[in-house]
Amino acid sequence: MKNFVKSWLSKRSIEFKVNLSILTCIFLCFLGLMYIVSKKSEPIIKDQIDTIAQKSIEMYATDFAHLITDAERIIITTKNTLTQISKDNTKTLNMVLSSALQTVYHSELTFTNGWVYVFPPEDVSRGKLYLATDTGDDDIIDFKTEKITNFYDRFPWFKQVPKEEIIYWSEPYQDVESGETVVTCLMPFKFLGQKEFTGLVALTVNVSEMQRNSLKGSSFYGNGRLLLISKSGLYVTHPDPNIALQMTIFQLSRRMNLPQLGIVGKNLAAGQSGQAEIPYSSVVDGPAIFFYAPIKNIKWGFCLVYAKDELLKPIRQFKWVLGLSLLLSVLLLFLFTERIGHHSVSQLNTLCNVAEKYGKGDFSENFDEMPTSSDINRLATAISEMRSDILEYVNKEREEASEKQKGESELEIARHIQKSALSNKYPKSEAFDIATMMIPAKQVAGDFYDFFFIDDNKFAVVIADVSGKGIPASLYMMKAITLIKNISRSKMSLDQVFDHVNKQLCEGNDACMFVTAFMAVIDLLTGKTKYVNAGHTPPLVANNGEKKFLDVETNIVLGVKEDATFVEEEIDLEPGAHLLLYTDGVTEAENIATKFYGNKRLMKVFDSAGTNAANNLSLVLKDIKKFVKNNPQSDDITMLDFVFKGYEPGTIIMPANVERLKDFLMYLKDDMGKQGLSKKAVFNMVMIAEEAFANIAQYAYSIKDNATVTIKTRKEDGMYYVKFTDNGRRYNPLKNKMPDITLDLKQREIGGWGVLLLKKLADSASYKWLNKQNVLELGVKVKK
Amino acid sequence: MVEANKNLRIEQKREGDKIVCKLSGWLDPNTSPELVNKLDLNGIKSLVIDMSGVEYVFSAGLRSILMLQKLLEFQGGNIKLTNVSDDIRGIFECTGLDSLLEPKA
Repeated sequence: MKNFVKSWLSKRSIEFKVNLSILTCIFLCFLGLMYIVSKKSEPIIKDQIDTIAQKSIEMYATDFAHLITDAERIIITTKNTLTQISKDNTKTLNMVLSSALQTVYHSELTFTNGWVYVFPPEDVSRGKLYLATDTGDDDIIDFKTEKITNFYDRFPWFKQVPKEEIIYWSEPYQDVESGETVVTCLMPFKFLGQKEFTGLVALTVNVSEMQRNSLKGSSFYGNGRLLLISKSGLYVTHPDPNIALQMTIFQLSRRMNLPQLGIVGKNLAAGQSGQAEIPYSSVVDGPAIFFYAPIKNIKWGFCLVYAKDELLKPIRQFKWVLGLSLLLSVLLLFLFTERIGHHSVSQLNTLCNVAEKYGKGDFSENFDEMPTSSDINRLATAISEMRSDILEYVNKEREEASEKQKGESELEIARHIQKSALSNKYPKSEAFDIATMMIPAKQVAGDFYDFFFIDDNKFAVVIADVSGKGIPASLYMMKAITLIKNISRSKMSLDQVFDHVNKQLCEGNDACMFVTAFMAVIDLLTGKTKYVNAGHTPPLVANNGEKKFLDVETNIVLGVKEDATFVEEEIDLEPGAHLLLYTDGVTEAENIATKFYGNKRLMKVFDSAGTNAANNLSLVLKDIKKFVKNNPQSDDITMLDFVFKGYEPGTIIMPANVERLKDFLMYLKDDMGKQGLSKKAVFNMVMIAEEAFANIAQYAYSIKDNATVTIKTRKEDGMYYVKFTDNGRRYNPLKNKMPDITLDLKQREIGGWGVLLLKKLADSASYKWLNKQNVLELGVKVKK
Repeated sequence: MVEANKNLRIEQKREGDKIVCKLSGWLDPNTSPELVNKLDLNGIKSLVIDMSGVEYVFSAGLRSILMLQKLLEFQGGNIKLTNVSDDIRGIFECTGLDSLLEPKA
């Protein structure tokens, strides 16, 4: 999935990606912002609402309390007046009552009635009631006086009234006549000169009216519904008529199983304000929040009830507004960035189209009008400059190329000639190790080296340097290399070889080219080495613990003087000796200070040379490079290292060639004759040695060039052994399948006799694969 | 190569459906193919090879002789080797090819 998105994205245009990333960023920012705002704002708004609601209810309670205070003040004033008159002064009594009610008229209270009850101290239930009732018409009060026989029937709650000079508020009740909810506030008093309470002064006020009046000055948040709860927890007002004046908050709490309601009731009774969340309220028909506050002096309480949903409505509205504005902003931004992106990219696209044409080699188009955007303008300027640079360069190149091409192809040909002329197959032999190295200079010179067998045990090494450079030098080199190789095979002495080569190189040498050359022929069996020189730098030789430049007769170079003569010289190489042949490209390698590498340095590095020819050459090369450093190479560097190892006694080396079979067998017969083997033993050994040699020549070598087999003979403990060692393919002739000799002639296969003969005629035969060489040893008993 | 080939001399005499052939030298990998090439066995029922001048018969030689035998067999003829030295007889015996030899006198 991740990969899919990746690959999908990689295929979109920059424009798309830029727009996508900007929009994503902005969207995420907004989303984050919205999250924070909605998370943080909700409690703030809720707090705000709570505070407003709480304040409303408290204010309302306070206003109501003021009305209560007004009513109480009227009662107290009236009582104070009554305590100053005598019991029987009924005239005054009516007047006092009337003036009290007049005060009510001027307050915000609405009274239903006001009365004074006078009773004998011994029997409260029998007395005289002075009743003043509101007629409904302005300022007209209806006075009535009646004898009461059972006061408690009329005012059952009176039983609870303490016999103290304090104001007592009855529980609210419904007025029989008006049907309004009323509450009576009364106070016991003593007439002048009396010791016991013999009177009551009371005022019945309209609660609903009080509630309405207290609402006038205050307002509360939203559609709150107001509940008035009396001291005992009775609902004074409630939308449900079955609850209003019928049921207390505690009863409802129990019935509805809403303990939260009970707590509200208790807190109100204790005079505390607060708020509560109620899971269900019949007032709002759902979850509700109650804000409540006590009405201090009468221990009543108010509840402001909100539907929870309604209270949170503004928060939801706020969230909606926020979300919509987010969407709108993103939409606007999208349009905006899309336009900007499209504009920038269209400029880029123009650049792309032009650059694409340039890439295809069409430089005809240039910018008609430079892009306005500063960075794109820079790019366009760069491309435009590039165009003119390329055009200039291409024209210059075109001119140069045609000239250069000529020269280069010539160089290639010369290099090819030189490379193909050089031997690159190193003969494998235990008698010596050879390595060559040629690092051509930039311009092809005519250096060459060569190595080849002159006969079985004579190995020739040649190094030469043709004057001049290029194709002519290469062709002259070819001629020289071919002459030297061919003429040396005639088995003439080396001075004669060079004499012949010289004469033929002189022929038709109009260009006056010449060759310096050194050649040595090493007898691998004896180490006797013959050499001849034609004006070449003398090779380095390490022999017998001595290192020196070989003493050579310089002689004249080849190809110049037809009657020149050469001198063959000789040195005996001991096993471990080695020869380093090189051209002047080595000693005359130049560093930046135009100093030559020189003989001294070459001699010094030659000190650390070992028996591995290839290592020796890389050692020298490393030293040259260290000296020359970065200076360009001016001449070919050509080297040949020959390490002579020699043979153990009784060893011969034969080319692994079946044509040489008879030579080998004749040598073997001769050797066995000298060792005094019986005629039968000689016959058997010839038979099996032929088999071994033919096998090696035919099977072990796939490349016949320069392949050799080393043959070592020895006589030991009445046995004569011939050991064949070769570097060919791994091949064990003793493992060959034997033909079934019991079969009838007709069924016989034609081949496979060799292994049979080996097994039947040899007295011992062993094969080993040792150091990547096949080692086969055959033995016969000397006397047979 | 030239020298090596001179290593085997072949003299042959044809009498009707019989060839009498005298060999001298070595029958080795270089010379043996020549033996097969030089003898025209067309219509020949009997080939007698005089081996008196043969010094060595190597495996390549055995192979050539066996090949001649197969060719003759096809024509209903056969091959006989005469005047075989003891050494070479030993070779034929140990390879189980002695039935080609003229019985020892």
